[in-house]
Amino acid sequence: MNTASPRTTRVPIQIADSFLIALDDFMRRTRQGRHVSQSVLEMERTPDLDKLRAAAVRVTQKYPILAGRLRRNWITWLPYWELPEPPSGGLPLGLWHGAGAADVLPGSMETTDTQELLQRILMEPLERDGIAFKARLDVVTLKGGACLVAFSWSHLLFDGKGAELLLTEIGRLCEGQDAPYEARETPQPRVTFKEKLLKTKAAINRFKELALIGCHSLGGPRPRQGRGYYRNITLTPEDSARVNSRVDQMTGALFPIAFYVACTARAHDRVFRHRGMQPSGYVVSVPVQTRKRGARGPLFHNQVTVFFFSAVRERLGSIEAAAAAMKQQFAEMSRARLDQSFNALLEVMMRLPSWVFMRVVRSQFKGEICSFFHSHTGAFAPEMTGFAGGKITNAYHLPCLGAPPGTGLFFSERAGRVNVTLSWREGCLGDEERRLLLDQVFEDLFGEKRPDLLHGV
Amino acid sequence: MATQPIPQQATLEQQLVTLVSERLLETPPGFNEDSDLYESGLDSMAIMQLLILVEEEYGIALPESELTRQNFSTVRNVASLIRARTAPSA
Repeated sequence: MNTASPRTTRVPIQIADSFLIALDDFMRRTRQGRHVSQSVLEMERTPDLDKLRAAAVRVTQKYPILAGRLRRNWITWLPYWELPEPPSGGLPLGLWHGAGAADVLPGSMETTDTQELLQRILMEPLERDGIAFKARLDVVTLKGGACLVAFSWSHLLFDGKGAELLLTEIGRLCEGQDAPYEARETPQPRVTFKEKLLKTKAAINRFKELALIGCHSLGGPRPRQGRGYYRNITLTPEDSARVNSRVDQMTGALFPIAFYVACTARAHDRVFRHRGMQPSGYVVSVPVQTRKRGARGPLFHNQVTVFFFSAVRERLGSIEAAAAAMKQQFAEMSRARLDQSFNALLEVMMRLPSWVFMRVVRSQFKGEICSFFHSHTGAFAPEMTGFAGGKITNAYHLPCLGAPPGTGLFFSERAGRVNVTLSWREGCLGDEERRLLLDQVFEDLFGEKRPDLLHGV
Repeated sequence: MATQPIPQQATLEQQLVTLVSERLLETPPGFNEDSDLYESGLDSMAIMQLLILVEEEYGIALPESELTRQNFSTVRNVASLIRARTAPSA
């Protein structure tokens, strides 16, 4: 990372960004691409391309961070964003049409496999013509007049909720709604370095506890090159209602987080057992939003902290026992303010060069970062019903993960339908293992086997 | 932990509306004690934070059996829970 002229516009990073900067750098150094995710909108018909093109230009003018570069202050060694003059062409916009698509957009390229296309885009650099873009848009027209809009974005910019907020903003720009955006970051109380160190104590103790339990990932601690893959399964409204009702019964309507962490842990455990391994336990990192709930911003930066759950073998025998254990941990960690303590720890580490940062992170779990990634991002942009003149029929995120840990299981909802997304890095999860993992997920979600949901996964 | 005495009717609801708006949720204009908290974005983490705030502000720990969707649907319902925990038993 280079340093910059003091005249350029600088935007400081936020605390959680420091981890994502280190992780992105780790993926780059270990030849795993960059930490890029996709947010996908399934649309009833093709969006208005003129509107979308205009919005793609306007959004980079309004938010030049979309083509920003990360630098470090050579005195404080703190990373910051250097904002360029807005690029005139706007965000890169790729046009594609699937085989047999009713609507072939002018200049679009044919693709025979949409999933393969999206997976490939996830691995491609976002930079274009020397401009350090951190996001891109792709429109894929499909058979029957349907369409898919993929928004690919660097995790350096924001978390999944931030991506939803920016997509919503792009949607507003498409409709000519260009209200000034007021960035309201959560004010951080000024505390001394000693106070910060004291605050890190709870998180450090938690990591010591977790290290004793052990952290094992399906990919193992060795970084793996190779591609990222995903499968997304959208449940019907009826199945989604069944799942939500079951979650309510098991953990109470108030704490679905506990159920989904338990479900993810048991699914991974099923694969470990299939491999003839019985690890003593797993470490699950679960990001938690620090934006005020219901807020339309801040759009940028990773506005999250993390809860580290442990999933010990003795509590994984049934989904009921596992969910109860996670619920108890959630309550204990919340009361101990582990979210704040973890943030304090990240803040203390912010000045570390990325390679040192990752070495510290990985040293606590013998090279692992966590056992697998997981999040339940809730309702996907519920306020956004349409996009560039088209109706949205479904929406979900497709995260591209590095190894370690190499696998992740994610849940979200859109208009009463649950999306289950499995993401993995090449070599971390075999075909049969993938089916086993999802088989366990659906068994826990429904309380019975659902082989019908495994077709094509 | 310094806690506040439970205020009279209306005041507790007003305090909770302020607490929720300032520290938990980005509430819409006109948000009041009867507004739907879930529509304003209440989720697992926000509920847990609300429980902790209630403990800190009023010294009351709400038992798990009362942590239902209905009881947390509005500020008025949460206020009723708090009052019920402090009402002298008959």
